[in-house]
Amino acid sequence: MNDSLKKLLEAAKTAKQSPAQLEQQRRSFVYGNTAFENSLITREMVDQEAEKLAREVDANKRERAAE
Amino acid sequence: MPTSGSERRNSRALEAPLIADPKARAAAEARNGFRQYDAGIKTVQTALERGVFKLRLSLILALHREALAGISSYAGNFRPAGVKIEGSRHEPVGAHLVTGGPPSRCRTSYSRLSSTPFMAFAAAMSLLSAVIIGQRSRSASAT
Repeated sequence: MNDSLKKLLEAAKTAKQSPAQLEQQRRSFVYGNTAFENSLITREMVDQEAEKLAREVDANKRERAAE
Repeated sequence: MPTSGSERRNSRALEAPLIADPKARAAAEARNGFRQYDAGIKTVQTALERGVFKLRLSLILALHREALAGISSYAGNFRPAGVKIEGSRHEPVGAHLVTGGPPSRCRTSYSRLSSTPFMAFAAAMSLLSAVIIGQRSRSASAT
């Protein structure tokens, strides 16, 4: 491993990701992990499902808070 | 990695599909992809907080369930039938051999990574791929 790569790896260990970057990475992972076996899965579809799940999570939180 | 045309890799499980519409099935696969990712991240965070990770069969099957819930009748269970992977020379083992593989791999090679949760989880995901193959993607009649 050369010095440049070592420095990059060290920097990556302490780098802080923003919530938006984490979400972008999450969606990218899901697209990459699913689309390679099913060509009908698109980035748009992945975005739509992410929004749906987020709405479901919000609704569940509201339900629990109301109980 | 082949990504299009006749070279695309397709796993085919020999079971009846729970979702017949291909687009609805694709959406379900994407949705479950998020559920599996979120469960995976939670597992890693818990392991980091505890400082130890133990790869267990129950985790493999729990991730499998997240990936296949609503898509396959066998979500969270070992496949009981054979699969084919189109576009790959790899031949998955027969169904009768599936149950023996993951437990022994949990005990041996994967457990050696227990001090590094991320590596252990990567190993778990790799193992999961071996188990899951053929069930998430398009189900088809026996080939």
